[in-house]
Amino acid sequence: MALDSGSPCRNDGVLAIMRIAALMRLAFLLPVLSSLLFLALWQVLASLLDSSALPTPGTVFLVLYQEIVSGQLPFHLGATLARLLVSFVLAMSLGSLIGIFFGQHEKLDRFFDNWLVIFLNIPALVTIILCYVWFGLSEVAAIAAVVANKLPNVVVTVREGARALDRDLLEMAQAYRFGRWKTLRHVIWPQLFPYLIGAARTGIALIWKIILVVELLGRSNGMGYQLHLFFQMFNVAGILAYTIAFVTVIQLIEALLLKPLDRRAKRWRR
Amino acid sequence: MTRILIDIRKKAYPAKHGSGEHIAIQDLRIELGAGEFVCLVGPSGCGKTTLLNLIAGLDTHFDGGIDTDQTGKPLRIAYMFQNPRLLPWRTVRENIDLALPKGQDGKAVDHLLDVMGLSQSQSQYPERLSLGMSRRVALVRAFAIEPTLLLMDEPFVSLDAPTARRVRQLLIRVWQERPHTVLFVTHDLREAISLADRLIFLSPSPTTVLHQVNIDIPRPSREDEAVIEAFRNQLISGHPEISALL
Repeated sequence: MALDSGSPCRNDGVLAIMRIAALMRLAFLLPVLSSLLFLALWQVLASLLDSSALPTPGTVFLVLYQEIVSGQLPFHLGATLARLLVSFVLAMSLGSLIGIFFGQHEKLDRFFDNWLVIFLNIPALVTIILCYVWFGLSEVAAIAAVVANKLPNVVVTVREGARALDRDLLEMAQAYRFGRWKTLRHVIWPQLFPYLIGAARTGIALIWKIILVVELLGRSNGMGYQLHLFFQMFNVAGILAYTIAFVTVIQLIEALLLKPLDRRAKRWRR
Repeated sequence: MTRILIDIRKKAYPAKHGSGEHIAIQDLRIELGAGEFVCLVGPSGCGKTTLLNLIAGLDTHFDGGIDTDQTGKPLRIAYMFQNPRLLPWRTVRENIDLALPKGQDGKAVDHLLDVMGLSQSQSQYPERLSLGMSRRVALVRAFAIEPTLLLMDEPFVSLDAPTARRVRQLLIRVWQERPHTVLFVTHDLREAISLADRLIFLSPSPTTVLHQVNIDIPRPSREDEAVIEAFRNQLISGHPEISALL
């Protein structure tokens, strides 16, 4: 059977390849098409339902525009971004230090491994509530809650990197008398970088989500606070408008900052 | 010029679960003349790499010492490992320049790259190079720091025969341009005879010196494989204990 259909099969294969090639040429058009399809579906659904629970794309974009012009959205988005930046930097630097340390000290690492597992599994909401209870409804508590949520993640990722450091290259650096600084910069840092970027990329995605809950529960500005307000007033258009702004900013950070950094780190690869 | 005295009284690895203390090297004394090319020959696993690591200062846990008659100045040691050990995220040129001691300019590097036929590949990343080329880069790096002592740990294994021969010729060429002491580890007797002024045969562990042979074949005639082969046969028939090692 396989022998009989041998040649038509090959023709099918060729056709399929040609079809894929044609699609590849359209590759840059596809995201646009899929976004348009999404908007169209949304429009149809909203028109059919005709309910304030699902406003049309037009309404949402109008609200988005008004919120930007009024300065409300930039203010709250700015507050959230500032918290994001501070907690991100804190979590990354603290986590990297602890991760490198654990990666190099096997015994301590084994001893504290349970702690890490426990911290990794504490629900974000619990850390947030505890931070507010212990430190009051303050900015410090908010940042601490975010950092505490992200930290174990960074530690685990960077620890992997520190464990995987190439001994051969470290010996080479020692034999050629590189010294501390040269070794760190040219031998250790490039090996840790992919892990740091990995931690940063998952980190941003995680912190974003946690920071909103932190703001919702205990701050009087920021995206989370604003979303809470919209929720109480049943303002779905507002919620969606903020969501769009929010997703756009995070995508821009990813595309303009993290991806180029990642590419740069990989440029030496074959 | 500097004479170097290597005196390892004992190098042992501490007992690990089950097995007792493992003595890798015992009572090993080697004196290297200034500008001498010495090959260490011994069976695999006889602690040759351990010995080089001790000399290079990568491992300081041993009884004994490495001394020179040149006081005050520390030995400048270059180490060519079994694998090239280039930093994959730095270019060929950066890899070499990073190893240079402070204050040394890159003129010697330019010349060495030229001799090794690597001038065109300076800005390449090591992963794009063949193994033979990577080995040559490692060789340039070792020579570029203008060492007093060059350690080489089977640097040409897993190269095909013609490539290995070519790199050996290059090695001798740059070494003759600026003679310095070389300690070259190999388990290939033909390679050792074609390179060295003196052969030192090492025993299986605990490693110690079994036998020494001076090689008086003039360098130009070492290109001839028949000459090498004749020397080898004579050596083995004269010293049956050596053939047992190989």
